[in-house]
Amino acid sequence: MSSRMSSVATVSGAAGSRSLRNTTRAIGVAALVATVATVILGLWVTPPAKVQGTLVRLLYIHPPVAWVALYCSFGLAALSSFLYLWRRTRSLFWDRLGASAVEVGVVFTGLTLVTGSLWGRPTWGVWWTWTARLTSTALLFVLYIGYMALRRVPATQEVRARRSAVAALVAFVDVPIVSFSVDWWQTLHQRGTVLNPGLTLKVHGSMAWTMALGFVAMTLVFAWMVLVRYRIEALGDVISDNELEVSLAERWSEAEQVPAAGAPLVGGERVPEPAGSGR
Amino acid sequence: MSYVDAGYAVALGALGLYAFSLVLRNRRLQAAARAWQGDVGAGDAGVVAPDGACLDGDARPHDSESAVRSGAAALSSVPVLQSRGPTPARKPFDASDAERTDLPSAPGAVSPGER
Repeated sequence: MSSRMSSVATVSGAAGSRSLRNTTRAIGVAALVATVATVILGLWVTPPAKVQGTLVRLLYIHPPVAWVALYCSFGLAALSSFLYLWRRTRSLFWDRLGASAVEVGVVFTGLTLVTGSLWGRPTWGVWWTWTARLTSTALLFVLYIGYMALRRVPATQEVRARRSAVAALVAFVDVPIVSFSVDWWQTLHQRGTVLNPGLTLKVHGSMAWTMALGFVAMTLVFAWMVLVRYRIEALGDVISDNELEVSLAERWSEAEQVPAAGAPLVGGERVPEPAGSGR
Repeated sequence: MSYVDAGYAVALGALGLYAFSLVLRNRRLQAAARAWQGDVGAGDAGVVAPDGACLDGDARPHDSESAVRSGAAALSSVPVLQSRGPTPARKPFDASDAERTDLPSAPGAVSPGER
């Protein structure tokens, strides 16, 4: 029974404490409000730009999504993986956190590619071009999909966690390449609006504030998604452990019902040997 | 529809869909977890989750078969667990299994050396 009792504690622990659930809910509401405000400001309040016209409105959605994909998601995944691999901090918590961050990051990377393509078509005249920034981002997308596929390979939790952590760290090598690709090579993609070598902001006024709000909104959305995704990961692990426990318990109870293999047969039924017969 | 509208629609639509899928998966897994907890909690009075969270309102009989059935029913609708492949059908217990695997010997089972 003690193992079952420990299961109860683990399940509720995986579901998260009440304060954590309240925090998650608060972050979710804040993310929703910030996103709605960004959309209203971005689509109807901010002025069009001199060169790009209304296309500049994609500035409030594409860079924030890319920021979450590159730095928040994969940065968190790399940090979690490192902390898992480091013996002092090794815990399945970091493995689950890394897995959650990667899944959310893949969604945001996909959106970065799609929104970038929708911006590229009217400004560059093409949906896609194999320049450094775009190609390295597409490679990043594929690398982290590979990470997710690797987690599906059957293995024990420890083996899966270790190999996933190594894969996440290897894939993270591509992040600085994506980030600096516009500085290292000549590409169609413009240089960073915020994260450029001189850290000089290229937008001002209401456009700058709206873009900043967009960054805050997408970061909050990311935080909420990672918290919920982490809970799913933890609950999934606990439930599959419990399933295994119950299966084993059932086999034990079946073993108690089946008489010993070597017992003599009387009238077609095995007769259990008397207790204390040496077995 | 302009490129700007399309960009916002795709980004917000995809994020909304993904968020919805997360909420759905979370709820299904919590339901599955409650199915397990409901079984244990009914039989083991006084077992309280460390965070004091309300686990499940309806009492269920303390019966491992019902737990397996309710748990399995809840789990069968969870995509994250479905992806791990179907649960193989249980075969009747064979005492010699305990000898072939590294499972500890079942009570009353005969170890190879004792035969």
